[in-house]
Amino acid sequence: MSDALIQVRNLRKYFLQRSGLLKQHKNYLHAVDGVSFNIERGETLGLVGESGCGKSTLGKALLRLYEPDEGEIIFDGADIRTLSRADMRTTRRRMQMVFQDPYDSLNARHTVGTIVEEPLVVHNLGGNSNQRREQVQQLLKQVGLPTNSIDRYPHEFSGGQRQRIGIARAIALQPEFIVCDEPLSALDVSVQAQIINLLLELRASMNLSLLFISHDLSVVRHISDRVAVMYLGEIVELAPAATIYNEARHPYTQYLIASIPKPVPGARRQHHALLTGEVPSPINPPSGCRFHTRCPKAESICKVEKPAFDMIANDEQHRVACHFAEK
Amino acid sequence: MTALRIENLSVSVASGKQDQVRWPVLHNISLELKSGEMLGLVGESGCGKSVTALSVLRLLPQPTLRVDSGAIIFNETNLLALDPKQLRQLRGNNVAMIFQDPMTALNPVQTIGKQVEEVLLLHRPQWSKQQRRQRIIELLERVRIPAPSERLNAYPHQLSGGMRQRVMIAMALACEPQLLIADEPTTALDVTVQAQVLDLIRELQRESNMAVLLITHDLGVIAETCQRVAVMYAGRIVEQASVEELFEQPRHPYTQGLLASLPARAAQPQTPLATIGGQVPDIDARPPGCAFSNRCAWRSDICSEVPVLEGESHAVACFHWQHIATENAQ
Repeated sequence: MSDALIQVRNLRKYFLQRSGLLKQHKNYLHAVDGVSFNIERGETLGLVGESGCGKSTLGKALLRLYEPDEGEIIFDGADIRTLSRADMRTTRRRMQMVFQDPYDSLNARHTVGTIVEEPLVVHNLGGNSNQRREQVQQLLKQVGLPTNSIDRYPHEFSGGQRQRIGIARAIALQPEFIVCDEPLSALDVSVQAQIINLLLELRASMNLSLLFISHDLSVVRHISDRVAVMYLGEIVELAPAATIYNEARHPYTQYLIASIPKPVPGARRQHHALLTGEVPSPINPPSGCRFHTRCPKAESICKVEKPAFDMIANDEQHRVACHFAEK
Repeated sequence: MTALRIENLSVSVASGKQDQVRWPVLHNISLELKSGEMLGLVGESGCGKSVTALSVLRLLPQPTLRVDSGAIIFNETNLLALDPKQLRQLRGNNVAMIFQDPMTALNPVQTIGKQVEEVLLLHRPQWSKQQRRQRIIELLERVRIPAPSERLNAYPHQLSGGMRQRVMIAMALACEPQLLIADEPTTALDVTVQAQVLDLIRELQRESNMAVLLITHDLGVIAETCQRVAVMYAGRIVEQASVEELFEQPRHPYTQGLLASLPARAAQPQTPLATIGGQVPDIDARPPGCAFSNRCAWRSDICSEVPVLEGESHAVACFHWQHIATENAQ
């Protein structure tokens, strides 16, 4: 853990849910429940899991777009949860986000120039308006948009181009860290490839750290250095991308990988046991290991005792939360 | 035996304020589906795959979309010539459809039992209440909904997305159709649930020997579930082959580009992916002749004419495919 830009320690985020007559019943939805990991400088950490596992909440909590309930987020040495408003403002420049939906995340009434310029204006950077315009032109060029885009409106662009606008806005402040929340899921395959290439290129040229959140495991494998697998608010396995895909130890990861439809006939998934059942409710997560209700390997200990998030075979890089991971 | 034959189907869409302008959406589509076969129809948004599916069941929103010419032959009758009464007898009975979003396709204020029953009331009017109930339970069991006799009384919002899609499948199978059209049936589902639902469709298809037309943008889903596949681009079928042939030896430059852009087929992680230059043309800006010509590296003068989809088991609509194949082999 030599050069960690971000260290997350035991992060928790609960949402209050009220139910019943007069809403007097209080329940807490455990969206992110005790998560710890690091992201190094220049590293891409992939975050995968099924809907409702808490991956988007985690991404937003890292930027304090959701205020976490517990835990530490150490960004470049300082816990951002304890920062004052003014300090948080300066730190925010260094962390940005790219959103899923390129249609909803851009203000339809603003020109592309205004949208991309906004972070510069908000943070009072980039000099006078002429200089800023110059910079915006530069940014648009960097993400592969024609320079005449600056005075046009988002609706004039296709989905892929809109995502480029969103990326231009995210890199406007020269951030060190970007959370990409499902940036490709609204795009067609051939357009996805273009955006993946753009992200790879920017990451290399700006030495960016990325948290890449996606449900598409093939995309995550392609872009990530390491991958974290989430289930019901917890990270169950974290390892280098190749290890996750070839030598996963957690039964959930194994099922997830086996479920990916592979665009190679013959590699056709045989009728091996598929994961049965569905994800339990995060309001009342199962006791012990949260996966035990669906796990074929589960034994009595799994119901009672929560497995530790331990290294496998003393490999610093590979951690698994399963009682039987070594078998 | 042929289950469905689409012959030279052309569909157009009205555009502009005074609806007189019509743009072609589908250009002379021909497809054949044998009974017991699963055919995948793949393409990017706007290529016309859903319009093809809707045309078969005559569900196109008229008059915005209109069939201009062609025939859709099912059981030796042209579906385009049926009157509304005959259509009602066909839909849900011989031909059934599953839609993408199980939340909007189900009625939120009716129990799922009632909604499955509706199909039976319409097409099996002679059945008693008991018979219907028994059949519904049997169907829910078949799509592996746990505790079906209790779930009958559940409302859609009480079920998860995967369960709702299973209800949709149960409804579609209620009258044992010969043809099932599944339009992006797993797109809204998580990958583990998707695997379950695809396995279910495949298994039911084998048991009942029905023909399935599976529409999806996901080439992985096609490779795993279908026997044959047709690739669509800008309102035309550009290539059609067995799944093995298409994925191993794609002939059309578009199919080749599509496959090369998949991260799952990339040789090396973290390296740039192959991309297709440009973007899918808007419906009012499709180039004349080969629709892919403005993005194709192999184009020549002849591409301003429309290439015909040619070939028996492996058909391709490209003037240069043989040339491309020899070049690529070297």
